[in-house]
Amino acid sequence: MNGNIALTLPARDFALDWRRFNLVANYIAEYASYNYAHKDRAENVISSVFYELLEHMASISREDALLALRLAADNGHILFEIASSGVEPPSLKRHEQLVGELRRGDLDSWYRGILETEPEAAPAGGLLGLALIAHDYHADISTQSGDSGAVILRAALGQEEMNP
Amino acid sequence: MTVSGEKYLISFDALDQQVNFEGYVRTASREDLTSIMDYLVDVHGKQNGSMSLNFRKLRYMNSSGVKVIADFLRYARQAKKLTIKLVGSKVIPWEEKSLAPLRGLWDGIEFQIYDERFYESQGIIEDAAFIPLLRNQTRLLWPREKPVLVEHGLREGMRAADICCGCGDVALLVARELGVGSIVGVDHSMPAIDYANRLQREFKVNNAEFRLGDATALLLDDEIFDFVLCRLSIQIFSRPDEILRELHRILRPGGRLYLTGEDYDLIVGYPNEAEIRSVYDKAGRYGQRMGMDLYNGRKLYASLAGMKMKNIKVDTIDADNLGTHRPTFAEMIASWRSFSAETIGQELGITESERAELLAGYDAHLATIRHPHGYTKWSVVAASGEKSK
Repeated sequence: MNGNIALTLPARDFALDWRRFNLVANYIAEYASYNYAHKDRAENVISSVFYELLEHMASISREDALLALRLAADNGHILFEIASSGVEPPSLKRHEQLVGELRRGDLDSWYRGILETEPEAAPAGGLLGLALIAHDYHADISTQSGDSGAVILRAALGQEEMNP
Repeated sequence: MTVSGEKYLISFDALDQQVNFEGYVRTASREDLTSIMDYLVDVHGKQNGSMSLNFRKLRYMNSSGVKVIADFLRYARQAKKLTIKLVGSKVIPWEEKSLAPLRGLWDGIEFQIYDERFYESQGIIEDAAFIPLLRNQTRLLWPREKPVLVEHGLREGMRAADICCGCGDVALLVARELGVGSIVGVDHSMPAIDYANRLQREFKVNNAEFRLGDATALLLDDEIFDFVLCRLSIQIFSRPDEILRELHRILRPGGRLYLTGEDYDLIVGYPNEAEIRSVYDKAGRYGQRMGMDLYNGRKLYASLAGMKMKNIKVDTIDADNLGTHRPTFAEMIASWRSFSAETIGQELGITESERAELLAGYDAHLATIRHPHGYTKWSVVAASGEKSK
């Protein structure tokens, strides 16, 4: 399908300057948006979701890791994927726990609990971001990890999320 | 009283007790987030009654920013001093998705989509069914309006914007036939923007771009356009000043703002002179009941002068049944007939006899167009002014 995009970038670049989250999320969103009937809405949704995924994956990746970003449309869904070539075991454990939380229980109450948390105790940006896209964009988030610290994060959004 | 970052500006409008967010709040910096929270708390402390947070010009906010807003709402809940209104825009999806759930934090929070119903006739004007009427109007007007645009200063290579561009056909003609460097078309109707994008692909016009947007809160930078058009649109808004302020803001000093408006008193014809006058008087009054001003053409000079524009020019663009393709003229009047008597009539709940009178009046106008010796004219007022340097 037209508008699919894949990019590979070093995690270090994001550690050096976090403004690259915005730059890359907007680039991917604008590139892909021409593929959607409601271009402006698609661009805003894709950028918002990609930004949070990217911030999260960069925050758990080693600086020498590579981040492979992919956006594809498939069967009424938009698939966001970020594969990191290197996540340390403690970060991986936290990441898997979080994705596990997203996939079970009452998402509304859990998200409300995060919003009610005092700022000092609130989860770091990336964790909060995954919760936000699961709750507000109804993203189906899953993860897969390999033996050598490689981790793939996927989020699938229904095309209807682009509609008013 | 403002707080800003590299890509955002947060300011306070005392008149509306409203904090306005502009740009992108996508920051991971604890310092930035703390200064936003401190600013909101500071403003909160100085108000009574209610306070609004206006996000209509904020293109993006990341989850850390959303959390700061949630923290502020929790603060306001605890303080029990003010109610808080969150104001978002229909054209920026993150706002409805991420701000609406914040209502759950406290019943003192209201969430409003500002442009959900921000002009009376929005539902009908922004419907796909309105597009054929726009296309017919362009067919009639464009050959006459093209030289007027040049006369009013539109030149090759200019950076232009067509705000409230409808289905985009005029913006594409400006791009293709007048050789502007680029043109950005903005409209609040999703079917119209979708149509414009399709038309652009079909015509392979590369120097045009269409965006969904709210003309009262444009996501366009200050002073970037050489020529800004807003055609036959201000008349439908009950708050035209909000649009004019934005048109002025995006125009560079020395650039020109070009407006066109209707004046139903200028629609004339013979034979059936009395019936034609009567039907447009009625249509004008029904339009007024829908919040439209179908006589705004005569007010455009005053609007431009009120904005302290210089070198103001005013012209009329006249389309008559002799100089235009007669069936197209008739088709346009038939579209007006249907729009006025059926669509607007239904919205206003007019009686069967009122509807019959309208239909008969438009039928008389159609008869004039088709009459071998009939003459009729539709005039649109075009006015432009130069932004002071």
